[in-house]
Amino acid sequence: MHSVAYRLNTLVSFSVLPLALMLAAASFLDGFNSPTVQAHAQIHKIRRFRKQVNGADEVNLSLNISMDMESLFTWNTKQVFVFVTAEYQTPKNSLNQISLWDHIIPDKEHAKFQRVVPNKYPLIDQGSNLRGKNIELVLHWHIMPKSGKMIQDKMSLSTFNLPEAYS
Amino acid sequence: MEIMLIAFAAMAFAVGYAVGSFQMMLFIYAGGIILTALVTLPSWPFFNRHPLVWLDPSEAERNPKPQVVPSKKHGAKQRQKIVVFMFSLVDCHSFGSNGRL
Repeated sequence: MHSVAYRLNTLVSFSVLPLALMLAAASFLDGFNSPTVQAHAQIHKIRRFRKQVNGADEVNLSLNISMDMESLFTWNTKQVFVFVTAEYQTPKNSLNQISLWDHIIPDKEHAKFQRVVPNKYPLIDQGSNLRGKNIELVLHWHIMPKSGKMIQDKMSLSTFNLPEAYS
Repeated sequence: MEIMLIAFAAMAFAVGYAVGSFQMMLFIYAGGIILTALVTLPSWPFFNRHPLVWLDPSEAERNPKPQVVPSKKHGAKQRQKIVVFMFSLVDCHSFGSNGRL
C-alpha cells in the first residue's frame, strides 16, 4: 500500500466483489417474481396445405395472436423472446415441436399486443402425417435477464385439426 | 476502502431496486468507485499524521548485525551453534536498544 499503483490495484480488484454480489442479488430477487401471462392464439386461416416433392407435408397458415407479457418484465429483464410452436404426435416421434412464429419483446411498453401474423416458418412434417392431425399451439417464452440465468416457460394456447385434404 | 465500496454497493442496489433501473445501480456504483479512488489513491497529508520515526544510521553502525558463519558440519553441533547464534541475536538487540526499544 505504499504507492498509488498498489492502491489502485487493490481498489479495482476489490471493487469486483461488491459488483458481483449486487448482480447476484439482482438475479436472486428475480426468482420471487411470479408472472401471470395471458395469451391466446387461434388459427386465422390455413393458406396452403400441400405435399412437398419429397413427400413431406407442408402447411402455411396465419395466426391470430394476442398476448400480455408485461408481468414478465422486472428491473433485471433485458428482453423476452417468445415463440409459438405447433406440437403433435406421430408414430415416429412422440413429440414434434415446430416453431411457427417468433418475436423479441424489447421492453415492457411493447409487451401487450394483438395481431394477425403469417407463419414465419412453414409447418413441415417429417413425412406425411399431417392430414386430419390434431395440433396443439404452445407459446414458449425465454426471459433474458441483465444478470443471472435465463428463465424459460411455456403455456398451451389452443388445439386445432388440420383438414383431411390438401389444398 | 472496503467499507466505502460495500456501502456504495448497498446504496446503489437499494436505489436501483427502488427506482427499478439496473443502469442507475451501475452508475451509482461506478460513481462510488471513483469517489473511493479519490479518497484512497492520492497520498493525502492526513494519511501521514503518525509517521514512523526511523533509527539514525549512526545508531545502526554502533550495533552491527552479527555475521552468519557458514558451517560445513551437520547434526547436533550445528543445531547447538544455531541456538547460540539466536541467543547472541537477542543479546545484541536488548543491549543495543538500551531497553528503550
